[in-house]
Amino acid sequence: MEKHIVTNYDLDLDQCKTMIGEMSIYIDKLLVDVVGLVSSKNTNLINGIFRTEEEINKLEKKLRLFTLNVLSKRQPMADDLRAVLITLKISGILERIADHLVNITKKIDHQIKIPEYFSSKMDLEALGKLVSENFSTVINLYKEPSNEVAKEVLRKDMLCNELFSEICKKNLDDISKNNEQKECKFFIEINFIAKEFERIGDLVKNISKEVRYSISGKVR
Amino acid sequence: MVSKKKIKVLTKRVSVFYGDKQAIKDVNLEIYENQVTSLIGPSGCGKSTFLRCINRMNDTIDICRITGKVLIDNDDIYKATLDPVLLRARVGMVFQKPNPFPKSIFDNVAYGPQIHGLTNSKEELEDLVVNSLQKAGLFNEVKDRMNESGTSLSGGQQQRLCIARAIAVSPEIILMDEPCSALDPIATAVIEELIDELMQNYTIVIVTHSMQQAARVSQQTAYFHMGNLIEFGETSKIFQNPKNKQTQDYITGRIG
Ligand SMILES: Nc1ncnc2c1ncn2[C@@H]1O[C@H](COP(=O)(O)OP(=O)(O)OP(=O)(O)O)[C@@H](O)[C@H]1O
Ligand SMILES: [Mg+2]
Repeated sequence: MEKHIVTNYDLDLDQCKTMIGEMSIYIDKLLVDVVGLVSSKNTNLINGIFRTEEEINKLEKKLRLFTLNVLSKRQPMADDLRAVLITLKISGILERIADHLVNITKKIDHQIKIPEYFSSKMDLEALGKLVSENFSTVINLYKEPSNEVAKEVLRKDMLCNELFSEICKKNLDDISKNNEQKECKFFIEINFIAKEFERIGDLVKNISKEVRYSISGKVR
Repeated sequence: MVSKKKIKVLTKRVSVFYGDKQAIKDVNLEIYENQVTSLIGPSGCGKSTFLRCINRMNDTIDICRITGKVLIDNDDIYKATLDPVLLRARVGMVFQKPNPFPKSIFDNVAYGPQIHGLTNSKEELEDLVVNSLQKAGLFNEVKDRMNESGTSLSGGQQQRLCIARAIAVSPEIILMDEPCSALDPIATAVIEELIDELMQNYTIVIVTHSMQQAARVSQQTAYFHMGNLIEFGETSKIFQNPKNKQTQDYITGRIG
């Protein structure tokens, strides 16, 4: 990309990318911790999760102020305008991803014992990992846009959706096999968690949409 | 973020009259060292008049009278013992229309240092000219044509020549009155990049009709209306969330 005549303009645009990068490092950490919490119920992770989410909220505010400054100061045009616009939108998406992860953390009931029947256990862990993985992929896409990577994000999101349906089906089976109320509660919780992961997957896909928009200038 | 800002220019209740007509009304303003302060406001609100108070250019207008105080480094520039010619070496000015002398590019820049006796030898003078042209971002474009007339340059080059001329006498403050109004967007960007750099060594006050330019180049902005200073503050605040309704209406294009 050609440089701008005004050097500080380039620095401002770089800073937008850097700040998204910073936020995404925190999201990565949050994803790892929440997936860990879901699979191991390791309660030591909980405080860290809440702290990380606070950091993300702070960064989101900082980024909002910064992009507002860039917009009013540089009056970006064309691809620059789109780049700043998606910075703002992506930071909003990242903040929502963090919200969903915190929802999961809050929903987990540590009193409930894991029932012997739990046929979707592997799928749930796989879903969490796949979402994390796709998140890293989409951040790479943001840093270095490419058609190949964009397609990979879509493909992985489809896998996420399939896994989610699979989990729902297995949960329903498990519930109908067990009639203890506590266990029913457990499977409802698992469904909820799976749904949250699936939502996060959608948000990841939305990030790739923003990136594609910033490259092509077309709203699809 | 707490930054210590040093006041370079301070005006206290400055009023300016052209005959009976008051063009500036009781203006108190702080201009910070090594920052860019922009003056904005509708045509005829007194921006140029106010700017000219800072280097006593208004003295050259017969019917013009000024009251109040203008302090540079806490020193009253209107006191009787102060030599306005020396003052103008400390406070340089760049005008709306580039106005090079009808002399060579070299002489345009060399003139100021010569009359102020700033250099001791031909070599020193040459160094100073080259250095000033470099700082103004013009040297590479003119290094092979130093003896050609300054008026043979393009508008944007002429404006940078005038900036080189202004900085050749090592001013502390540079006043710019609509320096880019005659330039295309690229030449404007070149001047704005230059302003970003000059800011590290000089205090800059710029009058501009382009609010976008004020937003881009300055850290502080003052909004004038009919001779009054309506609002003054950090540029980002003025353009994102002004306190005064008049400022808001002006910057959003709701009043003329
Ligand atoms: N030499 C002068 N003699 C008489 N009146 C003057 C003189 N210069 C300026 N004025 C008046 O003083 C007021 C302020 O003028 P000034 O040139 O400072 O405005 P400005 O804000 O710089 O306008 P613009 O944006 O059009 O350059 C105007 O009403 C103008 O008519
Ligand atoms: Mg004027």
